[in-house]
Amino acid sequence: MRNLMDYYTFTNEARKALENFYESIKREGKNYPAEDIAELLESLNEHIEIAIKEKLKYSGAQRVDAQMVLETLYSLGDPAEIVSELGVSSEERAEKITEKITIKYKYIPIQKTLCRSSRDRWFFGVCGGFAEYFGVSSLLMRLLFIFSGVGILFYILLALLIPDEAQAKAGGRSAGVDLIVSSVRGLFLLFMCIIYIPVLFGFAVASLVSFNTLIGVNAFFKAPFTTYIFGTTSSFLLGFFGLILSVSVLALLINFIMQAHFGGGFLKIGSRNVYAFAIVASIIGISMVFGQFNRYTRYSGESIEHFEFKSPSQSLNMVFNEKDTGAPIFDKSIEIAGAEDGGDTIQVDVLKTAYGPNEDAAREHAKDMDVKIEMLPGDKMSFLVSSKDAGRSYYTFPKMKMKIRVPSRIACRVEADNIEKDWHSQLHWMNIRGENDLTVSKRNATTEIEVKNTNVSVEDIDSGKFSLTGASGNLAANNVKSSEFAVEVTNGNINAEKIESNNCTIKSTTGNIKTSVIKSDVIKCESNVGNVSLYKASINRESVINSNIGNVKVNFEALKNKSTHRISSDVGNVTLTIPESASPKVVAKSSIGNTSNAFDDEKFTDESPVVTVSTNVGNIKIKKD
Amino acid sequence: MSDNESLVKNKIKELRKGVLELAVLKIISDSERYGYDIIEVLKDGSLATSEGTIYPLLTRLKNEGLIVYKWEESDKGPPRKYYTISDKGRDLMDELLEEWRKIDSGLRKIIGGR
Repeated sequence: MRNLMDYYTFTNEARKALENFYESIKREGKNYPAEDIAELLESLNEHIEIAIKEKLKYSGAQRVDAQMVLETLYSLGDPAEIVSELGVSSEERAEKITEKITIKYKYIPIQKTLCRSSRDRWFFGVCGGFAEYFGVSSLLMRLLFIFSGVGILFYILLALLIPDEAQAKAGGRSAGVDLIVSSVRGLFLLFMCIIYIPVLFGFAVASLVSFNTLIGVNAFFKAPFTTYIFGTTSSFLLGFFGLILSVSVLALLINFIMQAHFGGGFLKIGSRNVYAFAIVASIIGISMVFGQFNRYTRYSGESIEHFEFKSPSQSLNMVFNEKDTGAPIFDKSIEIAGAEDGGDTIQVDVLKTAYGPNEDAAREHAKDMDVKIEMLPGDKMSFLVSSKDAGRSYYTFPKMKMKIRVPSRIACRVEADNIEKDWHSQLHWMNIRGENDLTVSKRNATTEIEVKNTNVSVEDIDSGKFSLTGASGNLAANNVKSSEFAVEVTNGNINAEKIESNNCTIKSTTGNIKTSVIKSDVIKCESNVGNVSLYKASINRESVINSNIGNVKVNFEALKNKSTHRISSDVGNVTLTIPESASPKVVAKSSIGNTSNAFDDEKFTDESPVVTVSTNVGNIKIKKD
Repeated sequence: MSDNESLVKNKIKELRKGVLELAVLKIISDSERYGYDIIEVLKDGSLATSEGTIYPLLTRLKNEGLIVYKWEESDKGPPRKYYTISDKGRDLMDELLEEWRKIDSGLRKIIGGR
């Protein structure tokens, strides 16, 4: 048979229509002798060619368009009727003709109107309708719909607005009728959603719960502790939707199978394509979920030695929740390293350790916990020690060492609450390196902080020993109560306010020291190259205040009897203010400089406080307050 | 279209179809014709139904040995099938024509007698 496409230029729709027609003839003729059908096709082809040629000649067009083909096919008649004409008795024929009152075309309607397709439909034929209208693949339209994010609501809206094919053909696009029909449809859909969506959600939630149980139940693994590593919220959502997607596809499949084999599912969908869609979507969904699973890493066992973030923006949440075993949580130290791109969140929650009958055993086993965490810019870390467990006897770690390496700015907050048997929660010891700010607050265990290139601010601290050592960093301390307050900074200023302690040591090599309202039995305050200034100092026993190259300014609020105070500078002025009531014995001496002493003529006793003031190069001024 | 309309249309179609074979035989008995041509003549005589059904009819007539065809080169375009009546076909046509005249005159009497 001559292939007309080889001789004439057909538009896509025209080609489609013609191919469709031939397909229909072949389909209808499958019960007739093959040679008859072949001959018939040949004749029809010849007829169509002549008709098309005439139409081309008549219109002067270059291309064969759908209109030409469809007109020709229309006058040829229904393929089924044509084929049935082959060797059928006239009685039978009459019957068949009466059956086919209207000619049903299986190809594109001559006049294209946008309507919901009745042939190419998954739900309401919106995508199929668009595809037919624009002459593109319906798969493309569906993909557009799915991935352009226009969403289900938009689809439903279109389904309501666009008439279906029958309506469009009947010209019945009267808004009123349409609205009623659409409303009924919409209500039906809504009704289906009400029933269907919870079903999907149920699936998803059930899966999530089981998933959570899988990694969450300690007893299941018989491990002394479990560590959860979660992805970020967004990745979690991704996984969650992946789960929903795969589960809903599963539901879709079940529905489809129910529909196909048991006559009726919960949603009416009619297309074999659903299978293909389901398989593809399942793969996507499952891989999403699987990818998410990979992000959740579970550590459990006797101890953690090393943990490394494998993907960006993870969050490590360690929960040490040891029960009854009395076994040590950490035999060895733990090292945690952030992923190279930062942005990780590390959350260490030590909720409680051993308690109960095995307390002694646990105490015996308990060792130092040495946590070394290396952090990168953007990382966040929180470390919480909480020993709350109502009505139980318990204790926390005997000694905990944390080594945190932070080249970035971090805010670190350490809490240890409700510690009564303080021998076992003696220390929070930090070794912080890097250029960052450290804020420490609300601490009531003994505190030791070691920093490098770090500004530290501490406030509202009620601690045993408070010590801060390090290089290159400023310290701001506000409202610190401690048995011992020791700060030694190499290159940094120290600004301390409201300090209460038995023993204060404040040293800076090249920075200024400034204190305000400080109460202590003993104070030692030294700066090599920097000014030292104490305002409202109440020192009970002894003070040593010195600057090698810098001015010293001291304002004593109270001086106790029998206390001794040495205030000196090598190169610098010394200014001293003493309350008049103290009547101290003041010995002042400047090698090269003037000395003015307001307590010069003071009568003093053996009980009087002794104040020694000296400078090599500088003036001395001692005032009464 | 209503059921009644389509019924009428159908009856007319059947009425025409009954004599279609005779018409086709008669058309090709005068001269050799190709399919499209036959349809054109039928159209002139207002006898064309669904044009497509003529082709299976031709095939059927050929299978029954009533007509034969031969390929003939066309001056414009591809070779075409030219149909012509066989002797057997001509005998049948004569019989059918005789019958048709009887039907025609009989019917005229009935219609005219009203």
